[in-house]
Amino acid sequence: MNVLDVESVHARFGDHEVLRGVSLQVARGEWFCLLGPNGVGKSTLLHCIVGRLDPANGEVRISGKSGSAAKRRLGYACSPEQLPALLTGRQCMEIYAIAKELECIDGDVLALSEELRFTPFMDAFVDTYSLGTRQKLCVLLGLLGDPDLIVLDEAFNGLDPRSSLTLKRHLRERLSADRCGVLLATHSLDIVEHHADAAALLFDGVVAERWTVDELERLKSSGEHALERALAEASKFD
Amino acid sequence: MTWSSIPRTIPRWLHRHPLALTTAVTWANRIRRLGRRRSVFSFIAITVFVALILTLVAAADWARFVMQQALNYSAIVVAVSGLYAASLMSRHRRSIETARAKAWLVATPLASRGSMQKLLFTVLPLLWRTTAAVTVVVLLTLDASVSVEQSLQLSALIVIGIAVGGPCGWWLSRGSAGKPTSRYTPRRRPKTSITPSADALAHWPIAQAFAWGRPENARLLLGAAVLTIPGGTGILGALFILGTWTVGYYLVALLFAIPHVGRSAFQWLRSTPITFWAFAWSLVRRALLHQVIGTLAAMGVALALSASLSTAMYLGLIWLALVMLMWTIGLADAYRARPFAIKTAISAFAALLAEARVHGLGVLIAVFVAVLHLHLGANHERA
Repeated sequence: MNVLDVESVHARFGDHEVLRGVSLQVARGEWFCLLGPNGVGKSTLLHCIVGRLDPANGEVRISGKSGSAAKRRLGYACSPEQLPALLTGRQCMEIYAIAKELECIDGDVLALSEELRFTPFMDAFVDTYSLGTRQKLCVLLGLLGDPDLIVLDEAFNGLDPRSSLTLKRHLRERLSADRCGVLLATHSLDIVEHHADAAALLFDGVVAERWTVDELERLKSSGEHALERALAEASKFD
Repeated sequence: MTWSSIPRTIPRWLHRHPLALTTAVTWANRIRRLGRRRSVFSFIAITVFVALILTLVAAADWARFVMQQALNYSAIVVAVSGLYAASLMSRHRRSIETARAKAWLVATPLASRGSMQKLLFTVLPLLWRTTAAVTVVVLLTLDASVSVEQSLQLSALIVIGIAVGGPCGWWLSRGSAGKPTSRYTPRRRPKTSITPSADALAHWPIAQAFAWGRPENARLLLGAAVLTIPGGTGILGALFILGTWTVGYYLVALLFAIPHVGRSAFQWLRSTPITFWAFAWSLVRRALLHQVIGTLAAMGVALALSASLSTAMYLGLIWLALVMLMWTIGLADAYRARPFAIKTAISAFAALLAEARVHGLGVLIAVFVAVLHLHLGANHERA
């Protein structure tokens, strides 16, 4: 079953049409990477999915639901600059849990917080955090409430290699247990090569190319930089 | 269900409104932080309280005069309060809806609820300002020369203006509110080439002065300017008064824009080998031209108001000396990464005080301080 269905989504800013009929699906247990050069609409698509932007046309469903019901099944790691500076990490987590109508903070999120070495910063104010620490908090917030779909926008930026590995392992565990699907917008081909089950290239507001897990494997085995070359080929500006 | 980190003083019903809860907890934290610096907090609180009392006592006569004038020109009072309310509501609606769209809680189910909450948060700032204005007007009745009828009449005029202007502001901002903008507006074939130029740097303080002058930022000044138009003034006279306010505002805004922008500009350019002179001149040159033209215009206004040529020139000279003083301190200390606000305030005060005692002394002090800071800036570059 798909945890995300995006059907013919259009989005525009004034006269500029950023998304021109984007459709994609993420299945439960699937790690889906969204690729594309800067400014082609990756973040706009994610904003449509998380409800920050209303699409001009088309539909977004999370686990078959839309609107508030969809948000109950969604986990979104906001960007670090969106965090409220004058709250502590613990306050952020508790308010986020209230906003998601949870009864308590999930045990595995607290365990991940320990593993990421975030717990010692829990009672410090967000404005004292480094970029990496803020990023960890954003990811932890996104994982609260055992969501069906986890949406991450460049969520590994600023994380040290150890934390990055820990987070990837945690996501992989959730995916293996079929607890969720992951949609990650990224420029990191390393993640695509080693973790993605499917990927798509967004270019000029449309999905220009899609790769299944087998096609990704084939690209990986067909030599160094094959994926990089394929991406460059598919994303040439006129 | 208990949430250990959320202060118990915050009511439980706010838990149904996470965005409001975030604001409440932020304020609780802010107060807690201030509590850690009790001496500073007490000092600020006492200073503000004393300043408020002094202002109220000093301004009582003036406020009575304004009240009398306001009652004489009731249509203007209604128009000014209506314009103020419209600009305030419009700005608040835009900023609240944009903030909601960009909020960290955007993807949660509870945060997407509550159009009543949005309306309340937009209306609250207008409500408390209206309450404050009406309270001040009512307090003036403590003075024997102001009657209760006058006070109620003026309060009613203010409330009518706000009641009309507020909904208009809400309605006017309906199209633009709450739509997050794109970070990218791709232009694949730029028509102009990019060459090294300090033009943008020279334009920065002017852009800053214009930004401060937007109606939503300068609405109080706009209201004050409208209130200074005497009854029976013709349209040309009214335009002349408003024009004078505009020029005066622009010159003052430019005066503060250079130190303000200088700090940001140097933080940005710190890692480049830019020299002090190149930095200062690039930033100042266009603003200086505007100051000179504006000062000449203001001198023209003074002459039109039957001031003598020597008085007009003297006032112009003092103004330009003040500009030179504040800009050189601001730029040199921005370049040297030092705080300059208190130093600038003391220097300007000292120069003005000296000028009031002995004609020409303040100008000399300003020139001396300016040359000293230019020297300090240039020396810092060599160091």
